Amino acid sequence: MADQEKRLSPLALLGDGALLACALMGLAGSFLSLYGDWQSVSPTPLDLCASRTGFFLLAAGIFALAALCAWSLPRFHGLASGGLAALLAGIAALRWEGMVQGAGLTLRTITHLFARRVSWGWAFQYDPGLSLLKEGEAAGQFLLLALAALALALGWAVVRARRWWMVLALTLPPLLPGLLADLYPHWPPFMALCACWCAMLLTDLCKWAAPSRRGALTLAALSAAGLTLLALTLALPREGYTRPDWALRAEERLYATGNRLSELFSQWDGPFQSTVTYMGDPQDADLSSAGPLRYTGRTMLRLESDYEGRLYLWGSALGRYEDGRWSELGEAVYQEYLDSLGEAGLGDAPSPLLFPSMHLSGGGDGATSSQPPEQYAVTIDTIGTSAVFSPYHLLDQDWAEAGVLPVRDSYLAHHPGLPGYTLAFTPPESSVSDAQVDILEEQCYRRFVREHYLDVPEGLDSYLSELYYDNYHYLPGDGFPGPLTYAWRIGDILEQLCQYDPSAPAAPEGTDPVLYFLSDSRRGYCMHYASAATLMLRALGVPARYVQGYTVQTELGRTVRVPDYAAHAWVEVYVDGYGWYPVEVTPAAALDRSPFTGEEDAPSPTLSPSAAPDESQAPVPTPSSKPAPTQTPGASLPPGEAPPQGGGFDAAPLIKAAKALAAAAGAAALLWLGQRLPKRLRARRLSAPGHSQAALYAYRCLLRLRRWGGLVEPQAEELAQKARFSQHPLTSDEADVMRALVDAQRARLCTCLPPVRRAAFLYLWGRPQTGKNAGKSPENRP
Amino acid sequence: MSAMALRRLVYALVLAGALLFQITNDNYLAHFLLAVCAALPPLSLSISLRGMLGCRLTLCAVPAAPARGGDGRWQVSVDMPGLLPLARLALRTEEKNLLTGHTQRRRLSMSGVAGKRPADLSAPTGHCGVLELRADKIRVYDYLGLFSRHVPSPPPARMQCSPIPADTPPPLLPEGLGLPAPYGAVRRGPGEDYDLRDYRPGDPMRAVHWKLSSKWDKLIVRERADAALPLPLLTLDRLGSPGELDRLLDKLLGLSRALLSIQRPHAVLWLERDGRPQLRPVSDEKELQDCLAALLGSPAPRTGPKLDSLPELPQLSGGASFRIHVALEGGEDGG
Repeated sequence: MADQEKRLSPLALLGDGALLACALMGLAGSFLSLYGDWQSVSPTPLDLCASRTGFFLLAAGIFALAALCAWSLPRFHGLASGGLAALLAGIAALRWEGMVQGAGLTLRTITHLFARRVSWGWAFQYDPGLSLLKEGEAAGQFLLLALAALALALGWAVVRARRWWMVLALTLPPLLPGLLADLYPHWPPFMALCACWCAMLLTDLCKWAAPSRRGALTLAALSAAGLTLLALTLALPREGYTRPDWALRAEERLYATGNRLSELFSQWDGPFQSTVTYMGDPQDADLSSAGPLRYTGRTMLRLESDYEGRLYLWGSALGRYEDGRWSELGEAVYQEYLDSLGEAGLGDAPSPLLFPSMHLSGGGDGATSSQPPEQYAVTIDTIGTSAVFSPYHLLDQDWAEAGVLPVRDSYLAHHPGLPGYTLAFTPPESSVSDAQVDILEEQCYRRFVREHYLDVPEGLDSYLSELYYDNYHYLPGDGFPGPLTYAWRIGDILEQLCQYDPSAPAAPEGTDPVLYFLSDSRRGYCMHYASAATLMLRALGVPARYVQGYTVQTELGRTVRVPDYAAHAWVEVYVDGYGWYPVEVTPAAALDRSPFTGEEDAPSPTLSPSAAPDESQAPVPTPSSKPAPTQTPGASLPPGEAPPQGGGFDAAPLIKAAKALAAAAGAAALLWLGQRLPKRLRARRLSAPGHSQAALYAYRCLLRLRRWGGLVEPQAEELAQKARFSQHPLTSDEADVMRALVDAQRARLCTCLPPVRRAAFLYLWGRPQTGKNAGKSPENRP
Repeated sequence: MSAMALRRLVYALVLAGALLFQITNDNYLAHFLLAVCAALPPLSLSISLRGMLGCRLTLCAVPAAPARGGDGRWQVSVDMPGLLPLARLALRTEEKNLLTGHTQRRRLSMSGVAGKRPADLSAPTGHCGVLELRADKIRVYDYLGLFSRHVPSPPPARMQCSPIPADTPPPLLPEGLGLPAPYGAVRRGPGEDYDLRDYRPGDPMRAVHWKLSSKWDKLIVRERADAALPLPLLTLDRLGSPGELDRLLDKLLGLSRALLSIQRPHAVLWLERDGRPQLRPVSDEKELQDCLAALLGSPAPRTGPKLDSLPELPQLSGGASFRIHVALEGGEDGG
């Protein structure tokens, strides 16, 4: 009878029906638009399903109505819903193979889409051997059955349980992969679903209200939520959306703080730390897992400089290529160079990173300089990265004051306590002497470079050299090219052969990514172009290495923000007598082949690849006559890939923080369980079907409460004795009396205990039940 | 942590998460999610504000005077405008037995409250006394449970938990004290008026109205109506535990009812907590109820001054009285 009164309200039926329809139809529309409207080269089974969205929406409406009818029955609603569930199970059993195929195809489509969008390494592989049309039918049948099953579950969650989080848990997971992959569902159904979530949230507190009132509230909340979402959609249009400035500024502060904290924590050795340490490692560049580019637009660096123009900020130079991954040569290999210096009696040699600036300033014994080059300074604040990024032509300076330290020939490390660093450099357009650096250190390093920066994976060198000679058309008059000429020609060849594509997928597993880029996909971005060019140069006998960093256009008197999509990769070619010279080989960024000058202004290479110190092949930095390349996403590296290699945001502190959060969550869960489990157990034993047992347990509770200052009234003792010794079991009322006595003592203790003890008491015993049901067993409650 | 505090904490976490998502993500969905999270509280307020502003509480006792141990309930009614229910109403109640001084505080929260559906609370009717229910710290919440508004406290409700009259025979009263007519004595007119009543053991045989007795076939006693009957004065010391008080009051009520049943007006005398005597005439049921209300509505200490400590008992207007002391041990004593 109570159920009858509870369910037979037209307003309640209307409200619940509207909620169910919004949830199911919104879910169906959003799901199909998320995974079916995806633009792909080849259609998927879900694409075919999406072409019949209207049919699926109609089916969702019918399922919602059926679920509403089943769960709203005043009596036998469980039977009706069970019957529907059995019907669905029967259908699934009859068409089991088709259902399995449909489920597999749906899962395959979703995981492949997700893997492609977010460069996830795993995707569900499944091939039932059907034609595309059959695959679409199988997926459609599975989706229909899944929708019907979901309707039953949603009906229970909406009509009976009335829990908003259940509705959220049932409807959000199917959409999560698409939403996480930055896909957008069709807006109206998604808004319907959101309105359902909001309405459920707003009516959650009133789930025990009278049905008519609850129905009115549901309709009011649903309409208000719908209007609010509509207003928000109109006020915040998706077209032309850019992240607001306050979010960018907040992100800068957030990452800056995170970096400082992570550096401090990672270097903290206790209170007696006395030595200054420098941190930062060049991280590998994994080309094999470099999938489509994705950006968040977060700020990685903020810099100020008295130089105005385009700067290539290199982070680390990687010389070893193995299994599709670039890495640094390492300390052991570099030791060979140091040993050779020691043998030559050059113990205090400058870092090879300084050779270009020494060249520009006329350093070395045989060099002459017409005038000292101009000096500029750049101050860089690291925000989204812990690595050091430096302009080219770094001058020898007081490294301790600058807060950085050259490490080997690959990168700079920096002092962890400093938020930023200031570097002095010579601008590219400074006048240079005709003479080259003629110092013994450079000659030693040149030998080291020829020994270690020419390695190409087995079997790839012949392919790369053939590719070069197949595509370079020799013209009469072409002299013997120098290393830079080789580099520019390779850039041209790559531009002809390959297509720039920021969404290029990762190379299949087991395939060399450079080989896959050059032979199969021919689509890629800066990582692919720079890697291919580096290896091709090496195959031609030109020492080269892979560099990653950022490109930025500085402005006088202004702080320039370097976002993550300014990340870039390029090639460095070793020019004898000069050092490492950067070459741009990515078409989208290659307005200039040379980062310093236009190609036509670049220094003429010598005719001999064996660069002698007296060759005039050293690059002559001249003022860049061309604008900086457009910082398109194409000129960038994926945030998860390239920035860490050259100094992206260090994930270690985040992992640590996640671990700390997980530990805290675990402790909180333990605390919660420590309270909930005894409480549940106590409630269960107090409401045990045997009244005597329940009364005896209540008496034991009273005895335990006595430790807190509780009282055991004579009535409780009498009843306990009766329960224990009498041949007649206690009645339900007597058990209720015992329970009420326990509740009364708990209530009394809650009010009279001092605050600290009260808190402990409340944690252990919980708040006593109040109201008319206090002390009553569940069967006696209305 | 209360449920509302938990909801606020969860909302704060969700908002912080949406904010962080917006800060670190270029996605439009992050922007929209933050906007939705920020719009939820105003949306909730817009729906619930009318009910929150117009809500009033009423307390009442059902029934107003149950017997001790009977089913007594408090009803908390909410008057509110509109059709929508209130999301949540939290209040603190204080039930006090004015006789025993026992106080019980409870925290109540009601969800989905709608008009015309009072919430019931069980009343502690285990002991005699006037029970008073007060409600304070009343707060009404919006549908998200984030905002609350204070609601004025309603007037307190009272419930008189009466004693259960003990089965007591009417006491034997001495005759012919020649006292003036007591309160409530009915004079039937000038001259010798007689009242007739049934014979009770102990009545003198000369008072039997034989003529009527033979006519009505039962012994009828004739007594002078204008004769001043001895006025029974029921005295009691309201001291002791609640259980002892219950038994004492049961006895008193039984005795008083017995006296009324023989149409014998009487008076009840007791001492207040401050030692002030209280004398209440009882000549009918209404006065008995008034007397009970006064008796049950003032605090009775466990220990305190007794009537015996008084130098002399308060005199009724007109002369002496016949004292019947109601006590737990030994029953009543004449004096």
